[in-house]
Amino acid sequence: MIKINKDSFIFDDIKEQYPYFYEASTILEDSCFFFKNVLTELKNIGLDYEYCEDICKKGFSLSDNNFGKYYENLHSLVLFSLEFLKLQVRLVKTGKYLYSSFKEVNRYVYNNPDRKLTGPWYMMALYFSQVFWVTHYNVNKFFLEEICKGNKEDGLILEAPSGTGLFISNFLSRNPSWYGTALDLSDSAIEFTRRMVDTFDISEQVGLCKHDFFKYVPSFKYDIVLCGEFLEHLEKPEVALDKLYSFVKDDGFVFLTVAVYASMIDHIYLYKSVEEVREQIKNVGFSIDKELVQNVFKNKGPEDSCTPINYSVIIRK
Amino acid sequence: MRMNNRKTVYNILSDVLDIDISLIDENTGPDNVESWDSFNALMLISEFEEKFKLSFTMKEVEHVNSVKDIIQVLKNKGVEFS
Repeated sequence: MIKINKDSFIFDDIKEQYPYFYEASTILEDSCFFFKNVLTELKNIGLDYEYCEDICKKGFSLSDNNFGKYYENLHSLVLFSLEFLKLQVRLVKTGKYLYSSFKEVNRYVYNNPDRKLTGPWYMMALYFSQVFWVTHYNVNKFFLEEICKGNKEDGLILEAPSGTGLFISNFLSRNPSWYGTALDLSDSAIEFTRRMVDTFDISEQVGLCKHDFFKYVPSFKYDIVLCGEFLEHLEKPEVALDKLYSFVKDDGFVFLTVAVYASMIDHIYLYKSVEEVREQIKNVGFSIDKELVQNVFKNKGPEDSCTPINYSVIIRK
Repeated sequence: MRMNNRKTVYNILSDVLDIDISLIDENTGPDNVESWDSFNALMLISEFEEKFKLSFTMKEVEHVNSVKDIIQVLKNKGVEFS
């Protein structure tokens, strides 16, 4: 049931200009106490309200323009966030992720009929986190500034796995003569990406490919390859880095994001520091061009070990 | 026992939030304790779950905004307080 009682909200001052973003922020602020802190932090970093409004408006469209569904989809971000925090406490206490193999995750998470946060729910939570998690918002801004601007007239881009498809959609909508491939093995990810490219009105520019990342052998190489928060879901991330190396042209680059020491339920490879990721990147032959290192919690430094870090990096051959 | 349970709750709050126990009352919460952030909130829940051998639902976790709320959830689960 939708019931919002508060007299005032953090973003009351932009209520009229950015109604979709405002509604979303009030839902989150009212749902769980810690979103008040998150929203205050977002306000203080100087949000790009136009971008946030656009993402929330598209989120409303992805919710079939239904306010009840919009509320439920936003609430999935609350559950997603609480689950992360609960598992992060467990990680601090045990030093281990809940699962360590893909087989376990497949059984207890992806194919668990009692679990709500799978498929489209998981996708919607991930989608809204791009605006309402400070680290994800900053990654998006980094992506828009560093990857989406200043490109040659046309080219080829791959997002693998595509996940929500937000990265490739943002890119192609800003680079209208480029073409892309969105690759994912998951039915729900491919379906969500299809809806995403429709919402961005770029379906003519992108091919959807339901395929195993490790068995994918494209007939050409890409100028840009996007790979968001994938390595930590694997037992052997080095193998995926090798594949990324094979996908990209010699003068191209890869945009990679990695969750370090961050206990989402389906993370199985435990990076304890950013340095471990850098070593794997260099070991397969990439060089690091530019990076964004963000600590999830405010009281830690970005190079500290055993604390959750969101690592974004542009890597080249 | 009832008095001890309140003391146990306050001791856990003091340890996790790193605040003096004398500063804690039923109105203590994330609005007036800076260290009561999202991570410590879940650390508190984890400590209460271990200490009292029970578990909080996600809905209960969402709506814990003060010591009073914590005590109410624990009472609902059969923990006695004075």
